[in-house]
Amino acid sequence: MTHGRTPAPLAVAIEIDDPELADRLAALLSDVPGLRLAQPGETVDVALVSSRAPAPAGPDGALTPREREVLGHLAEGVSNKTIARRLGISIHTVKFHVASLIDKLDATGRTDAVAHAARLGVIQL
Amino acid sequence: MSNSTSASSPQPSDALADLVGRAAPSLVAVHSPRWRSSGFFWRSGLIVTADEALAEDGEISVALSGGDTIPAAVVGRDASTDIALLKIERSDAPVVALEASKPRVGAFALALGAQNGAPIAAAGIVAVAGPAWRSLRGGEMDARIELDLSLRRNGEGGLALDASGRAFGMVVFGPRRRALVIPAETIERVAAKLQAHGRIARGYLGLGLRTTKLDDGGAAAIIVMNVAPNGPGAAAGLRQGDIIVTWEDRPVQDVRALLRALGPESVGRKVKLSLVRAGQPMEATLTIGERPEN
Repeated sequence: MTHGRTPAPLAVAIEIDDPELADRLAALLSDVPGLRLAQPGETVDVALVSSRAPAPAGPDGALTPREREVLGHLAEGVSNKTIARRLGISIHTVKFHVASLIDKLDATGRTDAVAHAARLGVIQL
Repeated sequence: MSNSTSASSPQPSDALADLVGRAAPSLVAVHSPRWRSSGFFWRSGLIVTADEALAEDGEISVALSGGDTIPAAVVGRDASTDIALLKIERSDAPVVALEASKPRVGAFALALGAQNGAPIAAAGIVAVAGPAWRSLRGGEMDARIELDLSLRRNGEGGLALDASGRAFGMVVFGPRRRALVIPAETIERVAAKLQAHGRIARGYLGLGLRTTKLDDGGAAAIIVMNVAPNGPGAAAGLRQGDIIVTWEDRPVQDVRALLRALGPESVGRKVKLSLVRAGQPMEATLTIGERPEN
């Protein structure tokens, strides 16, 4: 048996909020020799972070314009797929905004969007 | 292998495998463009599955227990409760008897789906068993049930079973991809409406609304911010800037109260509104429409 003494692969974390960008990076890096993608919570050698500043929050520190838009559609009771089609974005991006809305509005996702939308502005009925 | 007791008390793992085997003929794998999920026979030839895991359009087929794959048609779907109803031209599969009993926290739970004509299973416990709630999309859910188990992506739309093999709901992905159960009562109610009408109708005003306060007296009311062309509000003569003070002679103070008045049975109903336009009181009669699908 011969030991090539190859160093342990570098553990890389992808700490990027945009799920599309994160998925693309994960796909690109998944079979690069000498690298491996870190498990959640693992101590890592390097982390990839977005060069873009986070989207500015609303005046009350609450929702971005896109989140407000998604909230309005949720209040109509339509599916993520319909929202994706209406806004011309991917379903993954819609899910990302929905998860973010749940975080910002109500940690459990048990309060309906109408209640939030009505508090924040115009609702289409 | 101990032989002193095993003859009279089968191994727990055998009991679970038997339970899966009994339910398996009622389960199907659901295929739609770019989506793979599970479903189960709710009535003869009618399959309940997860709306969220069903493509918006394109051919749908189901793989029955044993492997036959046959085309399926959408009877109806409701995003607010995540329930879709499919129909196939075959009626030999056994239907699932859903049990409208709320499981207890900590009770054993099994999530059962299908792929390629064979069952797929995950086991865990009931993590949350709470009261009725309203989904983010406004769907009325009869109980908040979450499971602590690792659901496979294509297991979405399958059954939640208790330790006796009773089906208490459909397993889907909830917020943060937790295994959420659509309760049996909710499925019975919504699937029956989908079967009868092909959809869950929602009342529609064609108005963009927000709450406001009347300058005269400070009472809460609702102001019309925009009017959809050709919508029910436009047909009733409402205009941008009108303030709705009462609905069927009752004060309207918040938009949610209006939403409750726009359930499936409201479509076609005439309602009397009292308005304030440019400071002048006036009345209008609005016929509630049905919210367009898209």
